[in-house]
Amino acid sequence: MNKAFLRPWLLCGFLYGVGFYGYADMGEGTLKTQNSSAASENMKTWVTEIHTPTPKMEKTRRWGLGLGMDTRWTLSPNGRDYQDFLAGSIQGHYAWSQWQYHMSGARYVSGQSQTGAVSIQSLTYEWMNWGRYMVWGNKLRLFAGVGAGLRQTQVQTQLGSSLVRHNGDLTPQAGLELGLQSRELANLPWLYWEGQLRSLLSLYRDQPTWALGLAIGWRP
Amino acid sequence: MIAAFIKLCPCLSRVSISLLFAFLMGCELTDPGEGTHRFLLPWHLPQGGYSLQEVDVYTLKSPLRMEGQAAQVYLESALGVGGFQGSVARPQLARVGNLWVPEDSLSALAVAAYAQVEQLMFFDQKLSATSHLPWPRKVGVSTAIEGFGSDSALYHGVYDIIIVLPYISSGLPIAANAGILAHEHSHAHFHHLVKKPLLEKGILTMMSVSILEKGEVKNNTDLDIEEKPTELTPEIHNAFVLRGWDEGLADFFGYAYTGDPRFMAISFSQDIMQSRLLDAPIQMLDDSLKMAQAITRPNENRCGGYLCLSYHLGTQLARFLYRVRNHHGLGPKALNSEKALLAYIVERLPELSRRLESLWQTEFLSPSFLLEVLFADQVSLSPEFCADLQLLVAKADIDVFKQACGGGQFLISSESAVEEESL
Repeated sequence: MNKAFLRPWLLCGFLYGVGFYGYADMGEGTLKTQNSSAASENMKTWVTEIHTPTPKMEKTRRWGLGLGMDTRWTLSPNGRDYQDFLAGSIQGHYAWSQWQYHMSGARYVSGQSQTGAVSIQSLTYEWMNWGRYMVWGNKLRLFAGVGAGLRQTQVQTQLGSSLVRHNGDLTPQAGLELGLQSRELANLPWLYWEGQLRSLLSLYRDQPTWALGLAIGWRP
Repeated sequence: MIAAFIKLCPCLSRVSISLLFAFLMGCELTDPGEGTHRFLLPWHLPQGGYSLQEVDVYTLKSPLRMEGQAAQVYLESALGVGGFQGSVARPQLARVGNLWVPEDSLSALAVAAYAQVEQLMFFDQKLSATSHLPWPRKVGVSTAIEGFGSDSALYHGVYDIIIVLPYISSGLPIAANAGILAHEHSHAHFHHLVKKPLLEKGILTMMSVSILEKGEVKNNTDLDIEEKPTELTPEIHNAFVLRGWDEGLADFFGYAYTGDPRFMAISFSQDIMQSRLLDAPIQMLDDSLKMAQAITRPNENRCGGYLCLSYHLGTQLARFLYRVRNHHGLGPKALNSEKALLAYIVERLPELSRRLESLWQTEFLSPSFLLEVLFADQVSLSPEFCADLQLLVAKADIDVFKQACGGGQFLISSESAVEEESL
């Protein structure tokens, strides 16, 4: 409640323009680092997970999983696109910009909280589409994006033997993101990393949730 | 297949970006605003107990923020020497048609607390007892106070706020317990009608307040309530007595609001439940001399401490009011229900404050003095009422009720009273 959960994203690299998307979120409000296996066969990832502190008195557990496809396509002023980058044909010290489309789906987060006899479990699904404006530098790419999609939460509330389940309405959701992405590292062209800060505001919700993501992986 | 998919991407991308901006331009976040909003909440049943129910809330400015005409609810705020710090609760809610469903337990409690205080406002309106209280009322849910632990609630007069401490037991959380919130709300009535006028006139000192409100953050006073009062003054004695009246009326208020004489049981431990039941036998109150002795000799009194003297007095008072609530013919107002009796008591509290002005610093008040203020000048009390009165009031103090009790003919001998109680 009123907490800005910091949710990690797990971007598992790209293969011919189609990326595989993974997500993991577990714990009880502690700062920790965990290893996680990748959704793609040839990817290894490490995810840093940060939550704002959970109140001592509220027993809260959260976990989440996501799996989906991530396609990125660029509109750039000079006709060169993301495939050029993947092919290694974009080199040198110059800056340019691009639009990028990013779709994520089938993400869900489950949470359980309990205070005394009142116990609530929630399961939230999100389907988001993002447009990114990217500025490419020599080694880094800075991007800002806007996103829109849908969200649905299923809630199970229990008080003693009284148990009620509800399927929430499909709710529009919009978001903003800022991030940095590696272009490539000099001697490690296969290494890819991306960090992003996202803020999502859902219909009927007057405070945004926040997501801080960091992904490291191999690029095929 | 992948290549084919990529070829589709330019179209997909253009369409998606267009849709995205259309969405952002045309769709702004919606706050449903004022009106009647329905929530899924832990709520009391007419026959007792609690279940999950769909509850209408009428006075919120928005379902997304717990503030409105009835209350301002704060969540996980803090109270310390710097004062009260917090912001209005913004619950996490899922919308299901016209129903709002809390997505976590603290959100449920924040909404439940608002809904209960709103019902208390309607209850006060029926009692004609809203005008002396500032509205909206303030409630801190799951509020931490250093040194106060958990599983309790208090009313803080300085900040005029009900504080519900974090709840870690397995029962119904206090913030959803209608009776306990009503109990704390009663303290607000008592504060504004009795204590505040005395404080403003300098009759009640901070020392007294420290006794009256253990929940007080200890500033401006050196008195530790657990320390033995080395010299019993009327002020100290009366502070314990006044605290007892405050607690007793609050227990009766909780009952009158819920209709449940055991409203604390669902949230508190068995020990507390047994000592605070309203539907249990009455024990006779001490007279002022015995009360003073109990205060000066805490190890010898019935509960071995100071504050429990006040609570014991309060419990007996509440049990008495519970017993007499349906006694017909109680005065000219026909106080024949718990709500009518409560309304009458609230109406008489300013008179109690006025009477205390001249007595507070000079007299060792009898624990039954409150009943004297409330009932002794009634034209006629019923025989049943007088019989119950005799179970509660010490023999030394009963004479003041003679006139109201049929000139004394309704006051039976003390032996008969004990016999009736044992039955």
